[in-house]
Amino acid sequence: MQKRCGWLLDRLADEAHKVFISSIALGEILTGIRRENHGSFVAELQRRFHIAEFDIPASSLAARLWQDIPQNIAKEDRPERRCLHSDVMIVAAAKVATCRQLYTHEPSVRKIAELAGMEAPDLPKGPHRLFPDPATQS
Amino acid sequence: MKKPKKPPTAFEVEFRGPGVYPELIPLGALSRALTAVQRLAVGHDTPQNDDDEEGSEPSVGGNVGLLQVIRGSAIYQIATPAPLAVQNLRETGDVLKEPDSLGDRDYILGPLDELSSVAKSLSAIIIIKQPGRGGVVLATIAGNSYANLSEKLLITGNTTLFGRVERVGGATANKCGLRIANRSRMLFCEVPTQSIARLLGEKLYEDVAVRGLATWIKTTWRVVGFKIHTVSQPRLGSAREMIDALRNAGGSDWDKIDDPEAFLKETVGAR
Repeated sequence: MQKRCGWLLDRLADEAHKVFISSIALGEILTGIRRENHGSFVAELQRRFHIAEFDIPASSLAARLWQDIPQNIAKEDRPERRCLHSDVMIVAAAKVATCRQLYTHEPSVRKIAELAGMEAPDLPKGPHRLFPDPATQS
Repeated sequence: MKKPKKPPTAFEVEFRGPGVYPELIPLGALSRALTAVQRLAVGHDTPQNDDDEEGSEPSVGGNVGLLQVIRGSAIYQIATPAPLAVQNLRETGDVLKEPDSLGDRDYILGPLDELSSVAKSLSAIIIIKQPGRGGVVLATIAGNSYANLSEKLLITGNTTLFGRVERVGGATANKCGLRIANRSRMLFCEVPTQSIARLLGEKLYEDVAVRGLATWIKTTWRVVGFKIHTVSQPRLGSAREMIDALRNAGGSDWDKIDDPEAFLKETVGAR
């Protein structure tokens, strides 16, 4: 998955897209980073990514998505409840921030994003360039 | 050349209050009020008005014009070729009575704010009605009408908006015209300080992220007001540079975690 994320970032950087990261996902990333580094990591991330905040409209959309899930995603296809909860919040924050596409390799996240009216492509299966940047291939 | 025939009165705007006579209403207040009524009568924000100033006059086809003034109170008789003017003004009255019925007609808010402010300054109420004695009242605006409406209809909170800076500046207050996805018209944002205005000026026609205080319509979550507190301009840069920078900023702490997927599963749950 790390390799596929690298390919995606490589492509998005090449095509000069505006790239958003949800504040909820940012919280998940920070769990693996020492507390004393949180500030510098967030500052660096903010220089490069737009942060899609979980604000008041996002909370309303998350509630609507949460209400729609039982009719649209079979119980056996749903992740653990606390994980589903954060997935819904990530999607809602992205949608409210006017994102059109949400990249994910998780089928349940893809379904939630589609429920919110976004395209949800999978992570790329290979580099988009014949000679990719070695830094993104590890 | 034959003089054009006087058109019929479409509606009347009455300023009612103690000692309110046409000659006592300052021209500036009158102009602001009638311009606001015109915007309500025309009844929509057309994309072609995008390039005009906020609250600019509609095109000639939608104009309303002053026919005459009846001095008894201060009643301004208005003519207009706009076929839906009376209906639009009636809908304005309906929104004042039932704020949740606003729907996507947020163009009503600006003119109502203006009319409320004029009514307050004159200590009067502004009545928009069908012509003649006993004409049906379409909308009544008092000094507190906008405050009452906004209390019931609007929600404020901090957020970040993303858009392209298309205008910065203003004669009376600094504003920024921001072009945002999924909106046909620019959003005019408040810019509280000169330094933010200068920063936005440097980003003219560029995409920015602005953090600040938003005002949303509670029924549609449409942003109708925004006060910019900070401006940023994230740039992804090259993938190599980005990965190196994030690793150096603490991202490499993840290297010390043996099984990141198991760690995440433990922390945020199993996907």
